[in-house]
Amino acid sequence: MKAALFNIVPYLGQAERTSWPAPGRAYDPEVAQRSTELALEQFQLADELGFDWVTLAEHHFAPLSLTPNPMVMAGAVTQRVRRARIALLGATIPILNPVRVAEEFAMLDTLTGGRVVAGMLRGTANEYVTYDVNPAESRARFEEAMALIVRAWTEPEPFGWQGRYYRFRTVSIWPRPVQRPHPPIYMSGSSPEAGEFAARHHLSIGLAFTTLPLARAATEHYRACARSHGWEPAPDDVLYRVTAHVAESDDEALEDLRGAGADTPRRGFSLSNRRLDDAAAGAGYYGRDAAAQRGRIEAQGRPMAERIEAGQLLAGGPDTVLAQARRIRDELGAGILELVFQPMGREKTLRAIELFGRSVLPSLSMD
Amino acid sequence: MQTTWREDHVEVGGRRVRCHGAGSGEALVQVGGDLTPAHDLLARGRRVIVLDGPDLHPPAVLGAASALGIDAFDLLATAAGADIAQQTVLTEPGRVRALVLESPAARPMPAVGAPVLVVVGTEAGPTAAETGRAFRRELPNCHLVFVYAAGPAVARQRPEAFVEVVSDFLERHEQFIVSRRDSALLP
Repeated sequence: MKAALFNIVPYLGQAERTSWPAPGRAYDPEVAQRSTELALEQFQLADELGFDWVTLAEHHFAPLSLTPNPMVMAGAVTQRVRRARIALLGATIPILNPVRVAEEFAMLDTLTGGRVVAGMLRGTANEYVTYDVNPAESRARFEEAMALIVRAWTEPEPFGWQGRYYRFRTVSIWPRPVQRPHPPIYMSGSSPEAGEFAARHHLSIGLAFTTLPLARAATEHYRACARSHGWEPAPDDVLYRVTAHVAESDDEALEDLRGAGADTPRRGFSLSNRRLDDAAAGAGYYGRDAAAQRGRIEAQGRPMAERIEAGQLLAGGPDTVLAQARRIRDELGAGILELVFQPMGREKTLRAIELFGRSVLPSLSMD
Repeated sequence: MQTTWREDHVEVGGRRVRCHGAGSGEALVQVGGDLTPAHDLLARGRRVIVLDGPDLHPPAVLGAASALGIDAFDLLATAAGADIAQQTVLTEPGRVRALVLESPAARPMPAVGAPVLVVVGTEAGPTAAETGRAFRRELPNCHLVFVYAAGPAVARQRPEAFVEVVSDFLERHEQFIVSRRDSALLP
């Protein structure tokens, strides 16, 4: 099983965290610089410890994440991470210019000599407010944007694109990806529609902000659809994202988490503005199992013990965390475990990453 | 708005060539093929003539146009019709202003110097895309446009998308790559 270190690059200072968009009035640029540097430090450590991937994401207008353009951050990461793949999970393609996305991924693939993983996501419902895009168009824009990006990467002759949402009279990107035919593509596999699209187009899936039972249902649906299209996803085609903390012992890990406030209920990013999410849901953003999708996001607010049981949190000493990771692999057939280390101060977080890298990862890699 | 198509025949070299016509303005002649919703849209801004017949060849196309009182015209062809269309351009280069090929199933003829637009559906398969690329590569003045979510019958499956790009190309030729879209939202 492979391991990825995900860092959303949170703003590590005082800020309004219960609304979206968050006001910038208390923003401190020094805190933001320190937060960004800490993320780079963690990525570099993960690379040195043998993590297979480091991962970035795109979120806007909140202290949750300081990488509204993960491509820019990834450019910096290429100068620190010399071996691991650099994954963007992802670019929120329905709100972006697909040709620009294709160019940026190709630049990163060139900078890394072919180590980019191209995640393409729809994002959370609130992202559509950011660039004034109708969330009802999200899925159709997503599907067309992905087709255009792949075409831009692979088409040897200049071409025009006459789409439904995108029109370009001539496209011929430079640079082009190092990986042929193109970098591996991951998309969310949480909703049934997403699993079906990924299966039809031979794409890999990631499952985040979910629970093991929900992820198992989503994975089984994806695999069944893939089989009906004549192919069998490999373990690496399924990525599972989970919050984690590792300490010397189980007791110490749980104590650390309580100290970091991880046992208090949290609200999902998109649900921090309920009226906005309701409006997006009303526009049809969530698709045919809307209630399950919104419940999946709300499930992030449960107590710590329940989150561990539900596979939302890995916590404990190295042996315990190894067992928890193996459970995810066994239940989902997931080949990539993506870890979000619980922020709890620079030293403790770095120590947790190091403990995972030295005491869990070697056994996990052998599996 | 309903488009009224008139069926007609013209005599070319002692043979009858059947044709359908609608609209007025600059002439667009199609070599074979069916009438689609795209033709209705095209006929709103130009005179559209669809030639029909089992053995259309370049002299028949050129003769039919002359018989209809048309000197210079744009030429549209689909699939294997791309072969006759290119030969028609080569026979009398001065008469064909521009050439539009939908899902061509023919070899490109590099001597064709007229502006050419090749339209291929993204769902038409690898052979269609490869043929489109060959035209783009080998003709000196060719543009290749992929129409998203269309198979080989682009004009039938995505008529608005087909007509928008074809009309723009016929009006502006290679300058059609420069956007004229007004993006101002509010005064």
